[in-house]
Amino acid sequence: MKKSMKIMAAFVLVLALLLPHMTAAASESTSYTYTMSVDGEWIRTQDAYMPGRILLYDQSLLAPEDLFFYEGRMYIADKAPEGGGRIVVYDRKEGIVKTLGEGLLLGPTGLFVNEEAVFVADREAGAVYKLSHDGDVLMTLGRPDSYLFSSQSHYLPTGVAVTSQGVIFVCGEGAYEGLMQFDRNGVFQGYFAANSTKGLTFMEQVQELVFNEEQLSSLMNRIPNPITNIDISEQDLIYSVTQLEATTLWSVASYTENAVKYHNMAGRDIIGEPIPGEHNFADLVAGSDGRCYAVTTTGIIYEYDDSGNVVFSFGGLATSDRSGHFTYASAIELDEEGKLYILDKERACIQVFFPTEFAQLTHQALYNLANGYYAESEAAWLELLSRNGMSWLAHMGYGRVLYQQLRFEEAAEQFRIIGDRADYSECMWEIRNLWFQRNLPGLLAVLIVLTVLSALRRFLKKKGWLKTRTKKTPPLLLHIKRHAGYLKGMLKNPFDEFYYLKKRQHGSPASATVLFLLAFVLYLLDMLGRGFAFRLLDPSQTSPVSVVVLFVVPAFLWVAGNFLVSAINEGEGSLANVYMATAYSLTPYIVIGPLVIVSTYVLTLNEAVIVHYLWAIALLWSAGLLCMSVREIHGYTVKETVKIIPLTLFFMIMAVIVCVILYLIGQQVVIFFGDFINEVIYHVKS
Amino acid sequence: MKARIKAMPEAAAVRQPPVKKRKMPPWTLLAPYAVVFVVFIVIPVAAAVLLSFTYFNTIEPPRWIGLQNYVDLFTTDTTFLKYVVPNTIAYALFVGVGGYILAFFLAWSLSQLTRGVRTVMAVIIYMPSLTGGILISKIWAVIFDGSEIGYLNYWLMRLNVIQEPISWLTSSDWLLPVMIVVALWSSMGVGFLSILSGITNIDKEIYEAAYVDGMKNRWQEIIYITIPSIKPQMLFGAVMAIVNTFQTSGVGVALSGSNPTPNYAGQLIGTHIEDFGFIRNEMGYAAAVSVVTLLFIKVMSSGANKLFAEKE
Repeated sequence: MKKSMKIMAAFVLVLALLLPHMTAAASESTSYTYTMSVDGEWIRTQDAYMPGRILLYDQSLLAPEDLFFYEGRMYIADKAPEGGGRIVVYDRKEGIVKTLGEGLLLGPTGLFVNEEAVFVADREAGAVYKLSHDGDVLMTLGRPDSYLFSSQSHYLPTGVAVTSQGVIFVCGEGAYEGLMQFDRNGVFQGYFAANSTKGLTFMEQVQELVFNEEQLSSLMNRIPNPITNIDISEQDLIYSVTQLEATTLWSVASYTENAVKYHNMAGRDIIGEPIPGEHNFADLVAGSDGRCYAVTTTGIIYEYDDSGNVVFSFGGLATSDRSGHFTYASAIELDEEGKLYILDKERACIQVFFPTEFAQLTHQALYNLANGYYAESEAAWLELLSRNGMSWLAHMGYGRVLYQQLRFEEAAEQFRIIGDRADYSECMWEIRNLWFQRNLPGLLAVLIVLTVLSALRRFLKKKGWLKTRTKKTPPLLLHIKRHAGYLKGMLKNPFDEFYYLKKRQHGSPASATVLFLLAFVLYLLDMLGRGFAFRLLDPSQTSPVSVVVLFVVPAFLWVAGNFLVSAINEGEGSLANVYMATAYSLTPYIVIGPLVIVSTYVLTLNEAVIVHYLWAIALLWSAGLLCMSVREIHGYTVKETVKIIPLTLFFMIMAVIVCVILYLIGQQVVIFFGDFINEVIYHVKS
Repeated sequence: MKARIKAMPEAAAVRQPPVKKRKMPPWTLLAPYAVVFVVFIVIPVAAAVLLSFTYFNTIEPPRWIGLQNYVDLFTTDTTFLKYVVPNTIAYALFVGVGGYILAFFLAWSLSQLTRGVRTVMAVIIYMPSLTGGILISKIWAVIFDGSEIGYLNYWLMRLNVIQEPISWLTSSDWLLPVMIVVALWSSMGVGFLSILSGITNIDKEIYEAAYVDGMKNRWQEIIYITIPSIKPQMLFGAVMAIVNTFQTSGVGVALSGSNPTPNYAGQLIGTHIEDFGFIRNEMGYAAAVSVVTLLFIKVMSSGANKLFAEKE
């Protein structure tokens, strides 16, 4: 016994010594890399970037605010905590080469360098300086003196970017009107690319309508968030990040939308769809091939492709002194080799990240896709898929590549996996078109033969050469035929049909049950079994119980409610009447529903209007018949019907509420008795 | 207890007095109409059918190419298959069916009014279908103007529904809905008038008789008396609605100011024919499209015929 304990202890010790070593060997990255899964949730993927050297540590930087890479040199906007600042120019070989703007700058926060000059946004000085590479002031952009610039507007520049044509964009604190745009001579041109306010909530809209000016001004300001930082790509595309209010929504795939935006030269958001991101982005940098990288103040780095899809996300807040984590990230830059440089303001150093082979492969595949080398990049996408079969990006890229190579069936499968209906539907359109092209002659031939045959048959019948044989129909078929006739009557002349139903001349509770079952099966198919492009619910992600409940409970409550409510309101109909009338009211849905479901397999989103139209007709027609049934079955006037239907609906809602309350009370009772019994047992025992 | 009433049988045909036989052959009476019909209808239709089998660019003489135009239309003309057909179906469903129902409803409502008011209202409702083209380019284009001074944009922005103006007439998402709204407004044409005249000409005694027999309300009036009595007018209205929807070409072009419409968003069959016939001058192909349209209208009309025809 004692010996075995000793062995165990020794084993644990060895394991404890081994394990950290083993994990260290498995990966040198200090944070996990995430990407979007096919279900739109974060999943871990292979490491995309490895933390490399730390630059400028202990090199007398104070509180660096911004970083810019130009011709192999790093320009750093360094701000002294007690005021004052400078631009530090750092070369990897030579160390700190020079400093600019000492004595002039009060608090540099934004930086942009081109061959002409160094642009510095100085928040404290309230100006943007254009310095020569030797540090002389070429131009100062002070507070614009323009009728376009309101006297109440803030002018606290924090970031600056310059296009290849020399147009200067400045973002500032509190500049909710958008980016300030100056021409190359420093003349204020107007605002650019403002964020929009959030849509008003219903409450706020009521306030807007009811409140007077004074009350409105006492409310919280409804102004959009100012843009936090900007960058310009080589193609003069402007990228912006905005810090938003933190949301308290925590879920697996929690992210804030619309923090990152891509703007064209008109200032419009060119992606249009919400881009996942964080609420506390500090800076971003435009990379090659339209990619961009953004970093949060807490050190999480996002990489986006040219359409705003998340490629990778990694990094994080430093809890200890490990490389690859940040205490307060303030800027991000990219060099020609694709290495990332992230500035940590609090530690006053720069962390280098270099892309792994996996990231390079991803970038190569994205580049090929964007530039139309589809056949060439197929292998790369397949490789990415084999490494991470759940990656949204890999499926998207592979699907696009297949689509462009006219392999529509395979592409459709990829798009189905990532839930991309539009592209899936596009593939289906092509597949259908090809099928049509191949089979058009055959189809035409069949059509012609059928026409000729039917004409011949008519001709023969007319001449009396073709005798119509009278077949004996089996009684079951006859029975079904008769009931189908009732359905037809319900569609053609519901007044008569409801009358016959009421008088029990047509239909029976049994046939009504069959109709209910039919409608239920159709409803299930409609909800879960439509063609992918028109799917309402994903069978793998919906609980079957809730789908069933959504049909059974309203149907049951309607029948019960309608009977009970009309029973105390001088309604003539019996429970069987109500039951049958309700079932027969579903006739349009039963007749048109299959057509809708079949057409979702044949049609694409191009012709979606047909599907929606048919579906709407089926539902509205059925609803209309249901309302009509109340009047006909109970012999009400229109006025009474209008009264009874809301009453029935009210009954249905109340019934649900009562059931919920009873359930809750019942639960309490169970708990109470459970506690009571436990108490008794406890006292008896003690 | 409700007594059910079947549609009243048609009044027995009144016997005509026997007509004296005349020497003039029936030809002579028929001739004026027949000549006009042949010259203006039969020959153009036949010419269009013949042209549809040719390649004709209005400069060279037509060249016989057999069924090539039709094959191209259904296999390689992606504009037709991807935009024109779905657009036309959507347009027909809303403007054709919706407009037809609206025409009946409006006609029925008007028939409940007194004579003077009814005439004024009928003229007002009928007017848009006459003046359509001008009003579309002047009035609707101002209402749906894409800048913030367009009426609709202005009001939506004032009510905080939208944040920035929507370019209704050049956006591929909005052009078709706008076209449908405008077309519905101007769809109360001859069909509407014929239904109105049909309803006002129903013998009041039929209603009275039906009420004596136990008819209770207006719904039953419509179902059992009104619709059965005006079946010919309903048929005429339906055929006119079908022809109109498939023939329309100008709405999208007038609204958006260009043919083809932006991103083919408002391209209907009629617009497609105009595009090929009068802009690209491919008369043979345009003729093929119009022959297909003709066949389509024929099929739809016989459907309407089945629905409304008097069963003898």
